[in-house]
Amino acid sequence: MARRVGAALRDALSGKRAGRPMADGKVRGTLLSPWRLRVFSAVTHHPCMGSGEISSISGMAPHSVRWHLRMLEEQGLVAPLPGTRGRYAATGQLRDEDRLRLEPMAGQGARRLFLAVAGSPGMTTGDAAEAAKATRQAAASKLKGMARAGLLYSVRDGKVLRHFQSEGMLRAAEDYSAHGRKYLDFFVHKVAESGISARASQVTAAWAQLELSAGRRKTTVRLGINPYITILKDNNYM
Amino acid sequence: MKKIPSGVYGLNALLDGGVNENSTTVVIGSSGAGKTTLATQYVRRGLEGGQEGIFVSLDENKEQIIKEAIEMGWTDIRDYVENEQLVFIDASGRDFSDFIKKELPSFVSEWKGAKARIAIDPLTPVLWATPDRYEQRELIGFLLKETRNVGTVLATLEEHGTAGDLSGPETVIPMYLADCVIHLKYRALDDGADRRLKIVKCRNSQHSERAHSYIIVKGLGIIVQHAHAIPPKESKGAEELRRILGANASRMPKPVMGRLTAAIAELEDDDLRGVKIEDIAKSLISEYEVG
Repeated sequence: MARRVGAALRDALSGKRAGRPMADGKVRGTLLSPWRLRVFSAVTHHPCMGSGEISSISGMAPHSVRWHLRMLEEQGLVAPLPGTRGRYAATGQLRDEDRLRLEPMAGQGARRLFLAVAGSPGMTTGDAAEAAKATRQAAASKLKGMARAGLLYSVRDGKVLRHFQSEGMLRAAEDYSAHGRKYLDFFVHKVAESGISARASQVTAAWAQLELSAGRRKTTVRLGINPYITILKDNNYM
Repeated sequence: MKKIPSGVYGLNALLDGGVNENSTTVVIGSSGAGKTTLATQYVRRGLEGGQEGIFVSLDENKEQIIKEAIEMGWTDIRDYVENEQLVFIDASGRDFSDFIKKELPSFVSEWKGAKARIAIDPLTPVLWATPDRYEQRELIGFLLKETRNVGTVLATLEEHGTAGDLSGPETVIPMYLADCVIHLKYRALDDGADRRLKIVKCRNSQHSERAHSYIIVKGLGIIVQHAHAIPPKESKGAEELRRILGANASRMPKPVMGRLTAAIAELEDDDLRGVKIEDIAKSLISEYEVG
């Protein structure tokens, strides 16, 4: 069931009753809400997503997703990406170079295109568009963006362009792993400031399973710690 | 203007068909008049129709309201709470007024278009959060204007001072700003209570302008009479009501019929003293009539 207006209103007011200001940069107990964690998990797995895509992945209503993003932003856990229309990334997760690489991969359509090319090197724009169920025009624009970010390269073959995966994505995945661990530590410390303890029960190259607890409330969240691997593995993290 | 059923038996007809959707209604009454019962019936009717219910309590706590609702026959209230179709929010007047000032606009912009039923019981502590009259008016005006965007609001107001005097500042400001005002006049008598309901105003509606007797019946809630004063029928009220409802069972949804039958089975003739049984039966049927 999608998150409802009543629960959102209760969350908004419960923060005030606890006497905590809304934008103090600390994480409130309401982070333990499963719906909010669902949104947060989605953002950490695929940075640069907008509310529409999170909604379609999570099955939550778009207005509900927007509400949780705003609350997560006030809690200092996510931040909107400047110059984009409503795209978010987890605070501290992306370095400048990651943002340049990952922005062209925002959206399920873009990732489908990338994976189609990675799976069939030398694919033409038309074939990639068909494989990713995108229009040719949209596919051409997205593939161009990925090429500019160094994730693909394109070679002209007569009248068509053929696309190949470059080593950029693989190198970025490898290079990011140490930063991903740092981000995990950052998150654990950030929530600890508000009395939420986080303990990793399982850590893979792409994600970490965390057990969160505050008083008697306990829950788990899967945190994305390497968005490049998530894309390469076409990880269905939800 | 779309009308939605109020959930209070007999009230829809007096409001020209029900409460206006996405409007604000203020119910004024002294202690014991039945304000919380009315607010509970209103929210419950929305839930039965698939709407979401929000009960903002600025006075009693959630458990107390649930307990009273169960006593009023709302036995499955906890099911609605569990699946979050009904949400209770208990807040102090000061917290709620801070929320209105600082966060309500962004909250409403996120949730605009939702069709919840929102009960605020009572609104009075929000007014008392500030002693400045001008600020009170700004605050209540803003609250009523904004919350209309996420649902249909019903707020109760405590009536202080002389019974029936609605000229105090606590009542005048919300009365002026609300779309609909219902006054529950309550007077305790040596041999019972005299209860009258009057619709002071209801925008865009040809509402009743008379005072109507009402009773609060365990298991059913508030039942309003259409006639001004009906002489008590000597007896057999509950039995007659059971008979009429039984004969009209096919006109109402089965779960509602089951609930009403169970509630009426518990009644005794004394519970329905002084009311016209045909009117009650008609109100119950028309509230839920299918098709």
